Amino acid sequence: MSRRRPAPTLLWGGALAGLLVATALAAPLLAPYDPAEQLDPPAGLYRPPGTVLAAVHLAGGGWRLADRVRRTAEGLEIERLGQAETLPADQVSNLTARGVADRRVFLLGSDRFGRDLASRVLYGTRVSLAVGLLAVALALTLGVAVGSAAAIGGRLADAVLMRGVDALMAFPWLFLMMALSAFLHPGPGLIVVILGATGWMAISRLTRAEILSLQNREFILAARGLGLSPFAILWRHLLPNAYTPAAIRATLQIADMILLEAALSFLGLGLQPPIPSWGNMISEGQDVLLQSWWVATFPGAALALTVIAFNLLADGLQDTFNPRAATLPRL
Amino acid sequence: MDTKSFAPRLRLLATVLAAAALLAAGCRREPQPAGQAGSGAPHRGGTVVTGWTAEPGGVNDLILPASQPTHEMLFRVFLHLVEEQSDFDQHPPTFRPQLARSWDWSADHKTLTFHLRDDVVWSDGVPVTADDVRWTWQAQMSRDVVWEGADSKQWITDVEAVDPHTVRFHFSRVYAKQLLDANEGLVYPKHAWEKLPFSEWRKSGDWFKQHLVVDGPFTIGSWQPQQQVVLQRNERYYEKGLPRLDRVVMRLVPSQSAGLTQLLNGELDFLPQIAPGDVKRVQAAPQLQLIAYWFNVYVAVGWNNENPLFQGPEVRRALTLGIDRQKIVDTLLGPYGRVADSPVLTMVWAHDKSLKPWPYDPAEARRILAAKGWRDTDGDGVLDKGGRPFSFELLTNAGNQLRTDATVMIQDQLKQIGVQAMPRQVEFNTLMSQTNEGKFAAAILGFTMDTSLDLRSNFHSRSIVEGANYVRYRNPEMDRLIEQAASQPEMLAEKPYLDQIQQLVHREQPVTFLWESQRLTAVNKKVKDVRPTLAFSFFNLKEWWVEPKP
Amino acid sequence: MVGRTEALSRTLAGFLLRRLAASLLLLLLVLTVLFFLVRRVPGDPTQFGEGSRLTPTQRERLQELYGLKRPLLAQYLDWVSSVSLRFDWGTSLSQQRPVSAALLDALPATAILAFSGLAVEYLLALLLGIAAARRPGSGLDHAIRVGGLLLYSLPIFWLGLMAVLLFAYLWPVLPSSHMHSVDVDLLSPAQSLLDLGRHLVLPALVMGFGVGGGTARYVRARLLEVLGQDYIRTARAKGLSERRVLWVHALRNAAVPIVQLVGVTLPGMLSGALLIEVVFSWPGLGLLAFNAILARDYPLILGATSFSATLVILGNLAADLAHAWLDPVVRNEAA
Repeated sequence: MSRRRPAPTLLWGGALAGLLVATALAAPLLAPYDPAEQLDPPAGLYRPPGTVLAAVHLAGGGWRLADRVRRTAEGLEIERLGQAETLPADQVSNLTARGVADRRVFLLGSDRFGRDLASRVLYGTRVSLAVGLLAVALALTLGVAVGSAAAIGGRLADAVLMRGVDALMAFPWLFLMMALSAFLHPGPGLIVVILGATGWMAISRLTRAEILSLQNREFILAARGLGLSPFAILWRHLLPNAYTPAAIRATLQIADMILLEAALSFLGLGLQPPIPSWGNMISEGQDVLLQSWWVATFPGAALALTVIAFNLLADGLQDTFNPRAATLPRL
Repeated sequence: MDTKSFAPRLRLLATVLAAAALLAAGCRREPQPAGQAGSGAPHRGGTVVTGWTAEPGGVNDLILPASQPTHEMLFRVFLHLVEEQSDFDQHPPTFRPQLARSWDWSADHKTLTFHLRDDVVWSDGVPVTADDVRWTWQAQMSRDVVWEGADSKQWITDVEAVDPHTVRFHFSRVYAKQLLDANEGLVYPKHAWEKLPFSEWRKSGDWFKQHLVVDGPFTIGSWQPQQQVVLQRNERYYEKGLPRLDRVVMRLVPSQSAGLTQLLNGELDFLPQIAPGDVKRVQAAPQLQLIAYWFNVYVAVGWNNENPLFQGPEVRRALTLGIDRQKIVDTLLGPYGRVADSPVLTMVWAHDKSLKPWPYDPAEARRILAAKGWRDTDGDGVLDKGGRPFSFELLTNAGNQLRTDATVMIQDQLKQIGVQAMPRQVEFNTLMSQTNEGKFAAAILGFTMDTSLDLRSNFHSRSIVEGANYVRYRNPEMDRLIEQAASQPEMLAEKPYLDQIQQLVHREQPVTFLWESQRLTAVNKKVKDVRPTLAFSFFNLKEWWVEPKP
Repeated sequence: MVGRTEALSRTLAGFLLRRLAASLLLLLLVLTVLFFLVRRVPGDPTQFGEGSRLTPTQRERLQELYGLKRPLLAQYLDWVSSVSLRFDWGTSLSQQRPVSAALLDALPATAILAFSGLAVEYLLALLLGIAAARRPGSGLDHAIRVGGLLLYSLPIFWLGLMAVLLFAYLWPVLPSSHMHSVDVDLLSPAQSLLDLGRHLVLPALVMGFGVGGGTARYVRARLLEVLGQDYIRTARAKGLSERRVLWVHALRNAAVPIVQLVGVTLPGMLSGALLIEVVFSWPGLGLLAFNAILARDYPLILGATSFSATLVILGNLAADLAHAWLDPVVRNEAA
């Protein structure tokens, strides 16, 4: 393979993907609030992006979110849910000379429980990337294993495995996953397994093709001549030289896995609330699309951005290392 | 993920409805805005579009699983002998004539004779006769049809068509709900449907659609699968001038909230149920009206009475005292719920009004538990006795937000008294089979109550095996009271026994009652005279009307 | 000549048969797994329905009627044979009608959506792909390549929601859901068709645009490949106009892999249609499967899954045939 100057898509995709991974790792630092926190649900729900509310901490525990607060002689006058109310000074524990010391900024708006959407979207990065990367790791393992087995396992194994792969590739997985999900009610771990189990076929094809093309190269023939076992040859000589196409293909698969997880969660059959999955958020937003457009829009945009990043990255890798390989569009 | 299935006839056995709570019903006599009063004379004509989250299953409910849309539709398409009214707040419900103009009893009260109207015809012109009633009963009892409600007919030995307009029900015993049982189920068209042998009925849902004749106010105009069902005026309906609407569209919506969006948008005129959280959106829309009415479900924590943790009424009472039910209601339901304390719902005539719900009293709860030997010996914040911590899983069915939220609050409150409840969501069928087999510690369940007030299925020790006594409550006194109540010749006479049952339940707390709640219906103000009831959003559909377009 | 054709078609038939056999075997395997999974789920189909009032005796009778009392293996063999021999998937529990009837009811809606989506997709892909291939390396080419990638990265269900938000709510020019208006039963056939068209616009566009970006890139790549071939150079050398080279020679030769693509992307297409159907309440197979899951209607779930898989297998077969018809080389490859 020829190493060339990295394609611009690779740079862009790499930078974006790196940024996303950093975001996922640093989510607790970046997120303004706890993604599950519901301070004062009735007053906080479905606030549009950019809403700023005063957060009044009650002395007995609990919070009030107020549109406006005013310090008066008796204590604190607050406007909440369209009603004015006065709290005695000793009931508010974060009182200052002018109002209260805390506020809530809903940068991207809030959802039906008054949770901060920005925080949820940020934490969603973790969920999406974790699921996507783990599923792809699994798919890569499976794909390389099956591909190698087909390549070195003899004619019969090859025929059976590759016919199986052909058939598997022509299967409407979303239907099957829906059914599986409905019957099994999988947790996050099993979701990863289901996703990974559906995404290895292309990788196995590439691995097989690559290994077959190496089979008759001199260093392999030499290794065979030395009497090395087929597994040793595979492990020490074939795989190290054959992994590139599979790895590139696996990168491409990350975006697919992230999309699939989001689609399943969107249907209510993937990760279950309260896990902040973008698919769940979009599904919740679908119900209030007209009144609270931000609930579906921002998680969807984050999802789109992530998929774009990994698709760019994969496309760039393809262009840089393997420019003639055919790229097929996928769901 | 809730399936919206619910058997909406008033005459329901008390079933555990773990997922379908907050789904149907309401009470006409409750203080509530009784629909939109008409301004001026009712107008004839027009269309109303209603939104449903599930599709009706078909036109023959003898072979269909209970589902609210199915029954809402069928009860407007077919008639009963008599119509049960929703006036059960002061006395047992009364009946109004429908197919039968009158009915009378034999001297020994074992024979009930209905005198049918002679002016009711099926939509193909064939008169509705006693033969239809008798044949329907045969279908209901058929071993090949396996009708879910067949149990209600167990004391009926024969249905006799005396002449075309006289039909006689023979009973093997005398009891309070004879009329209710005779009337159970819709009357179906013999001449149209008898061509298909009973053994072919299950799996022939389509055949009945193709051979549909009706005698109710509406007929089915068109049915587009997964889209909508259009009900259309039955021109041969016997009540002159009714129904007023030309068409009622039952349109499918993907979710309650999506339905509300369409209601606000003007695409829908009526939505049978909205979530408490959506009330504000309805109130903010000047063209919409909210109708709220009490619902016939109570939600409770069922303690497995056979589990060593929950044996003895004192411990269960301590757990009740340790749960701040008022706060749960205030947080989750706001003004549309109240703390429940009896299996006989507050709105029903037989509710024991002298009962006061146990208060929230964590100090007393802790005292009781200490007296029972529960102490925190290892200082981990959880009580223990004989090396065993007071810790259990609190199950609820996945997808029910309200109950999931409740488990979280209960976990937090019980922690204050040293009891560790661990919330866990399971799939509905799993929950059902676990509770059926008694393989659970505690679970949040919804119980639907019907107007027959038969508590046998929930609390009688025999129902542990074949009923809905999932909590495995076993008390000879309770068994005796339930049997005595059931053997009274009329329902009013059951009251003293029902009071004793309620007091016993209150003392023993086989379950901790959480809440009763209201059903919230939203309707466009242009639709007049909408009066939903406990059982049916469409109860008086034939009387609905819309202002003519200017 | 005749003999040669016969030999070729025999090898082609062999190739197609092998592929078909593998697909059917897989289908059987998947259905087997699903069948036993369903039976593993607590509660049998007679416990269906949450308000169910069935007595234990009635439940037993129903189990008898549904054949659930027989040994699991016998049930399985029976089910497999009735599905494969009679296309009988049993009875839908929520509607008490044959599952096959429910599937056939839903098929036209999915077909209409899929074909419209496909039309939009390939129209878009050919336009953009050709525009890009005409001047490889130009600004337009780059814009189309990157734009295509961005387009097919958008989650199709989110794209659908955004389309509804924009074109049904904020600027209400098109219906937000369903296949027909509320008053469809009062419309004349022509009006009804128009009504269907109006409802089809958003879902079909979303579906076409959601995947068309990727297809455009594919078309471009194939065209460029073909344009680099010797016979194109020869054609150019002969002085044929650039337009003629592109539209007649290049496109005809690029058609083969493009048709092949339809087959390859079919499963994705059906999955996309499922999501679109759910977003737009479009009464097709996807929505049917989705609602069956909500209603725990197990026979219907199994039916919808296997039926859609069968559709894909048939679609692939059709694509293979079309491919072979367009390109004799494949027969040699297959041999």
